[in-house]
Amino acid sequence: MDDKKGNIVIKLVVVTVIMFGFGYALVPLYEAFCRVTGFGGKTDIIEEAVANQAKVIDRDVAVTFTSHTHSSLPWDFRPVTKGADVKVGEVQEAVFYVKNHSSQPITGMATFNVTPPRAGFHFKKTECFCFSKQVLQPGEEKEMAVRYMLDEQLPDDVHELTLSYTFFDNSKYAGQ
Amino acid sequence: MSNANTAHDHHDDHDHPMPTGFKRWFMSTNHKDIGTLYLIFSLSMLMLGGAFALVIRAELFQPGLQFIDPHFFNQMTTVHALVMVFGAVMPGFVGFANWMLPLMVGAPDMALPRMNNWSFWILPFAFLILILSFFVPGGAPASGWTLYAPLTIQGGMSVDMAIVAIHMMGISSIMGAINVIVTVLNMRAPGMTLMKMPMFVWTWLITAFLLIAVMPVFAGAVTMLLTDRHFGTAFFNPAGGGDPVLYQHIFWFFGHPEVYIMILPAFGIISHIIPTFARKPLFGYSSMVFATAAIAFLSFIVWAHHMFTVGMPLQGELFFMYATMLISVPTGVKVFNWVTTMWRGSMTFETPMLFSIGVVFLFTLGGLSGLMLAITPADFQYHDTYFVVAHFHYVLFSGAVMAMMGGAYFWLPKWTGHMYNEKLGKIHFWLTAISFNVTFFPQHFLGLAGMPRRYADYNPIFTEFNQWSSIGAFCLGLSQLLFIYIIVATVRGGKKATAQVWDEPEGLEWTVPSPAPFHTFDTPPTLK
Repeated sequence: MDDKKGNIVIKLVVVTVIMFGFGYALVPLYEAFCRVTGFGGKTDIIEEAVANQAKVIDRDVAVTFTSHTHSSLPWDFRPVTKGADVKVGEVQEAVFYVKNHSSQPITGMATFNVTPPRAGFHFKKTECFCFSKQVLQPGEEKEMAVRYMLDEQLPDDVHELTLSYTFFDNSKYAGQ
Repeated sequence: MSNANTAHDHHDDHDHPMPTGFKRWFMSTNHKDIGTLYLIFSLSMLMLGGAFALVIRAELFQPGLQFIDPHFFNQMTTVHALVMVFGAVMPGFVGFANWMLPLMVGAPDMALPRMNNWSFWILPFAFLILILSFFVPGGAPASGWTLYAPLTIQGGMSVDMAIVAIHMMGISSIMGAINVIVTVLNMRAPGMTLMKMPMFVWTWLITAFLLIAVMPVFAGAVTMLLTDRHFGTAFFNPAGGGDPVLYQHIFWFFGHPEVYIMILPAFGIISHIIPTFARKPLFGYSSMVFATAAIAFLSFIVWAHHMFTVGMPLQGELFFMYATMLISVPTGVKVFNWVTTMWRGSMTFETPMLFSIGVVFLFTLGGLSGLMLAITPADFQYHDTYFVVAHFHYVLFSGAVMAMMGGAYFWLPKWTGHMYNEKLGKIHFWLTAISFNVTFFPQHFLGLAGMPRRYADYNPIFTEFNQWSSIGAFCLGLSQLLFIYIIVATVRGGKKATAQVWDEPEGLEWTVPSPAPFHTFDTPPTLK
């Protein structure tokens, strides 16, 4: 094989490897995209102290909470606070109830999203049980809180929104 | 047909004797032999994938469950698609590339002959693994060819076998693509500038770049699936913080360029056939080249039109809708160029020409239904219905596969040295074209009426169109036996073909004798 051919082959192999890497690079790119745009109903995080300084506007938004449990997770999980009329800028708390029905300690992790998705970015949490894994001992039950506020950039035509949580069995990933 | 010299110079004036048997076929580094292997493999996979399709159509002849259970039905739809996409269409075009590219650019062989051998011989083993997955517990993958997570995170061992098979097919086609690029960039005859290259060479060059750009991304996606399944990662599993929608984005980032990988070489083939039988040079050569490049570029920014119903911001839906519709502009340029090439030409209608006109007509119909699907609000209605099934079979079967059939008839005399039986060829075309339309045209109506795809059963109101479709499918399948018969008969004998074969066709491949000798262009040809 002459040098000229060899050069092209090496370049093309490098492109192939880069594109394989690009497939993986799409993972953080996608996450960054979702975080920046709120795509997929991702929510934002804010410090409690900052949230408390926000100006409260007299605009009511009906917030509803829903919950799901993945079929492989023997937990009972439901919102205690089913919903609330929230003023934009005011910090609120919602409470969820969870119980482990099994005879094993289980680690669960909650995922969430907001509908409509374009409101997700303006749904700011100061504290949430979904920030970390939850370990429940056999038969253990507890109440967990979410503290949140709606920021003033929430699109004007959003009058109601839903925050949905799904609990998954995270035991497989416990070491991480 | 010209009566030019019928001399058969079989100077195998080489010091080494022609290899035979195992040595010739398994250890081959000859582009013509490897091309033949690819083409035979592709045709076998077409038959196998077609057999799976007939199982599907037999089950769908009537509502209710007649022959197979729904789980096996899902395996059939999945493996039918994988076999057709990766086994029939892609290797088929690689076969054409192997046979024709060196002849068209005046090169003695592909640039990397030994790699050529590897890239072919990986394929049969890849498909052996895929087909063996039918016999493991739980049967073959049943998730659809897109292998969407999280379903494939839960599947049985067959999913792992499919992933390994896909890796092997990917390596094979990347090696094939590298070979094409190096051959085209490095081995053209003196005087053949890029803008003098035949269209098939151009379309394959661009296809090869697409392959190198997206096959590794697909390999990455299925590798993530594999590690999610067995090694504790959570790319797509929400339980560990992953996102299943991410899989769809990565898959379609590969998947949409992939559909152009499957159609661009077909455009190349008919850009050779139509000028030959219209007896006019191809209209708008350079616009054809730029249209091909434009399609390739646009194919990278339209992927999410497969995912309108998955949910995305309005701006995203608008962007992908407009970008998708934009593709119809360069594609339209091509269609108009073919039509204009035919305009006032001295047309004759030999079998390759019939197939090419069939492609122009039917592919354009598939493009039209594609435009309908691109309209986001309409797509919410059509998504995952038989309308989509009809659409992609119009572009894939009556686009890619029929172009390959036309190409096979066009170059068969060059490959074998014999003319095929023109009458049987024409019968094959009409049987194929008519039964294809009987199979797939009613599926438009089924889709518009709301019949979802990928189910073993359906509402009885859809019965009649499904029966049309099933009858058409069996005719279509059986018609291909005639194709095999014609090919075998042509290989065995028939009227001797001249070097030119057709009436003053353009291209270096027609300057070598028919059949093309084992070694051609040992000294580069000079261009007129």
